[in-house]
Amino acid sequence: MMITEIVFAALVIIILTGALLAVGLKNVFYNALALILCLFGVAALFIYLNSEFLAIMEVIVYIGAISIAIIFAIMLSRPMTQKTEPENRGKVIRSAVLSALFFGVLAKVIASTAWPIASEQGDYSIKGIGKMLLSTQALPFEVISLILLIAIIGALVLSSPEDNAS
Amino acid sequence: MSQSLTSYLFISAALFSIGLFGVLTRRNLVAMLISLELILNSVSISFMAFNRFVFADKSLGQVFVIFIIALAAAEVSIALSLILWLHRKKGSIDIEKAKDLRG
Amino acid sequence: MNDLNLLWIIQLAPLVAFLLIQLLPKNAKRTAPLIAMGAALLAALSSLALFYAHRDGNNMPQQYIYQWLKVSDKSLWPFVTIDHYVLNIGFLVDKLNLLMITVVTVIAFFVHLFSYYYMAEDKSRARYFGFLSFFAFSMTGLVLSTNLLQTFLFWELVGLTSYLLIGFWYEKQSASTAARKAFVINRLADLGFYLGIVVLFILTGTLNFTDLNHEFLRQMLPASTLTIIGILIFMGVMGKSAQFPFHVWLPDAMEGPTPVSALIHSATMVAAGVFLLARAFGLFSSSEITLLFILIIGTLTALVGASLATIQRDIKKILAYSTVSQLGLMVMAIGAGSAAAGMFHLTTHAFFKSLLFLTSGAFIHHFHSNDIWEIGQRGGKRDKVAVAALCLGLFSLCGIFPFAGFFSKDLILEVLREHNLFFYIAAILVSFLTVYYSFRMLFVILFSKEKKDMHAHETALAHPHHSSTGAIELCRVIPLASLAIISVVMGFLGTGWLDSRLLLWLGGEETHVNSELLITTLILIVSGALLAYIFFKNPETAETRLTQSRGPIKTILERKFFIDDVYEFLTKKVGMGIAGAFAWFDRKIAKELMVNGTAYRILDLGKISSKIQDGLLQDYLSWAVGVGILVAFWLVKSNSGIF
Repeated sequence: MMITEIVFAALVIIILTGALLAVGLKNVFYNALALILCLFGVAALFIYLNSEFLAIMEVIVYIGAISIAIIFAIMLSRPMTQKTEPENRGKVIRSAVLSALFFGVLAKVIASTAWPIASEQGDYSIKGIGKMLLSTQALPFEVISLILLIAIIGALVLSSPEDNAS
Repeated sequence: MSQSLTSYLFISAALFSIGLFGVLTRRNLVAMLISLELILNSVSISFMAFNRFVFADKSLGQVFVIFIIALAAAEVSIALSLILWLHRKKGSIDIEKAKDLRG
Repeated sequence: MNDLNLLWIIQLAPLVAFLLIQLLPKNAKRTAPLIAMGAALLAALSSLALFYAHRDGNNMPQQYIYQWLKVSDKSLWPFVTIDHYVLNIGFLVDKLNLLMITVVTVIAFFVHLFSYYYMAEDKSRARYFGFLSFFAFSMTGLVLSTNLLQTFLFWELVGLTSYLLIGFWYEKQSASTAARKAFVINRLADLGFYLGIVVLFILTGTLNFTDLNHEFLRQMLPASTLTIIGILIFMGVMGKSAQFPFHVWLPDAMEGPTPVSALIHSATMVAAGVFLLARAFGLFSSSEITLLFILIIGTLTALVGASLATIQRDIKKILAYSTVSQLGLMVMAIGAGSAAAGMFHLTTHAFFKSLLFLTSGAFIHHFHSNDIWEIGQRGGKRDKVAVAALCLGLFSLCGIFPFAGFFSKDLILEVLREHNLFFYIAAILVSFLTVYYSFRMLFVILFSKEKKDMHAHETALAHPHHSSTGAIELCRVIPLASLAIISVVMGFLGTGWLDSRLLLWLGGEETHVNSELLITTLILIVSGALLAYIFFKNPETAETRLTQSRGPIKTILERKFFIDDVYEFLTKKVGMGIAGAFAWFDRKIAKELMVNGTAYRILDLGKISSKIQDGLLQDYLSWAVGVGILVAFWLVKSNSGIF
């Protein structure tokens, strides 16, 4: 038991550190790398939550595709060589206060609520997910595919050269 | 610790707040996008935690997280196209330069 | 033909004439004088018929009333205990009315006739006759009214007509100024009048003349209230009848056509005030102080008028100031307690003063000048008819036996003598001055050497004399002759020489010949005439001597006792000053500060609040997040025990 707890604590540290670095570092490439670190931690957390499938999915899709795409964009837009102005102090303080307040409200609610913990454990296997996707959640499933299609088309349109307007 | 709902919820809340801070602060559009991904992930953790501890009979939370991930992919592709387009137009991706819709 | 029909004819015939004249097409405007004269004749005949029907003086007063308003709500007026308030409108017929209406309509008719001659070449004839008719309508309405409010209504209409007629030749700047002056002073005085009416109505619930008698009022209201009401209503009289210090409009009103002066500003309209005093005598006599006030004002008026008449050169101005002075005498008589004496003098004065004005109109028209010296030098004494009429009128004015003025003026002197010696002496002084200025006018016109004036020749050639046209000349002569005859005869109707008819009829006591008074008046007349003769037997030297003399009395008289200066100061400096202060407030404070200021502050507020929309995405997001936190906080707080 102990070791799971220690690993859990380490994971929490990784996640939070990654997040803070993703937000705080000046160089945007470092931000992307920190994001990848954080996402690895989140994937590991999913294993703790009895969903190995999702952990793998997280790694493949989020880290493997999305983060790489982000890095693509960073490279293509060359923000590293540009001089960025430092952020306004007032803005930083404002957002820090707002985020802190938000966290405070959430934390208080989380801590004060009596969550109804269920006793039984259901079926978390990939078989169960598949069954659900094709029966009760079939509609969102189809809609998601539609959204992906639209996203592809949109991305194509937006990135086509200017003189080819159609 | 790893078996209590509240710790997962705390992680989620913390991640959300950090992501929120990033969205509100960073001038670089890509950095804003990265912070937005943090927010989405925090929500995924929250869904999974509730699925495991509160609504344990069905794996509805996992299905929802699948959807979230799929949507995040679609959104990122569009967002990055927009960022590249903006970079072509304005020459920089500083969000404080895009203030034409002023009142 | 019963009374009511006659009354409607008298009241409405002039109004119909006025409306018809207004509706006439351009080329039919020539008939306007005839329409007006027809209506005036109709009204005069109806009045005479009415008078004849009631000549025995029985079954009067008679009223024909139509109820106008009735308010029966005690709670409206918390401090009085009247059950209901009634306002009527209608006709009243009693001895006073009948006399007045006859005088008014008869003189109006003669003036219409004379105007046909006088205004024969004026291009706005139709407008003139329209206004004359409208005046006749208003004046008869005033005389025949049953209550104070109706009187006030017609009072204002008469004032309006006066304005329209004084300013008839509106192209002349002085005429329109004079018209404005008359109207404004009248309105100012009417403020007091109206306040008096309001107070009286609130406290007694009635304004009917038949109710307003001595006993009723004495028992309803305390003496101080009665005094105040009396003085307030007397203010209206002061304005209309040109009492001091509201007399200043009457001399200026001579800018109007002379027949207008004859009708309105000597015989009828200005007499309306005196008529009101007699009409509501019960109201005024219910307080000693009111009567004393009336007496004092009347005395001042008489003295001021007579003294200012002695230095005027313009024939109409002399007559105007004379009118002011005679009105003062009438008011004095009423103030001394005898409404009958005042009304008697009003009647005789109406006839001889209108005669005098028409005569002056004849002179002015013939010799093209208002100045008595110029009239004399252009051969004034050659116009026999006019001179004769002038003499008759003047003798009546001076109170020479056996003319009408003798009887009425003597009556007033007698009443005053019995009342208070001080005022009697004042009246004696006024009579002396009257004789002086009358004979001055006469001598200057008669004794001036004729100059072969080129100017008069030219103007005489330019206007061919209309004595060639028979009808028009008749229109000149008939009124003069008729009025002259009446001026002579009227006196006998009044006194104990025949059988005191008029006076008894009016309610006065039978008079007897007072020898002391006769001797006093005789001395007055002789000395006045003598003084005038001494000064003016040679008008040319008198003129040069007058223009060269200086002195305090002359200055005071020439500046009309500085009253006009006081008015000018009050209106220009005080009135304009206050108006300027208000204008400053309106401009600076109300406009700049409050109106514009508010607008600019709102604009500034808008500018400030538009800074929120700066186009920066993260600012908008911050707002959204902040508000979202607040909403979440509030939702959680209100739906659960957390926080």
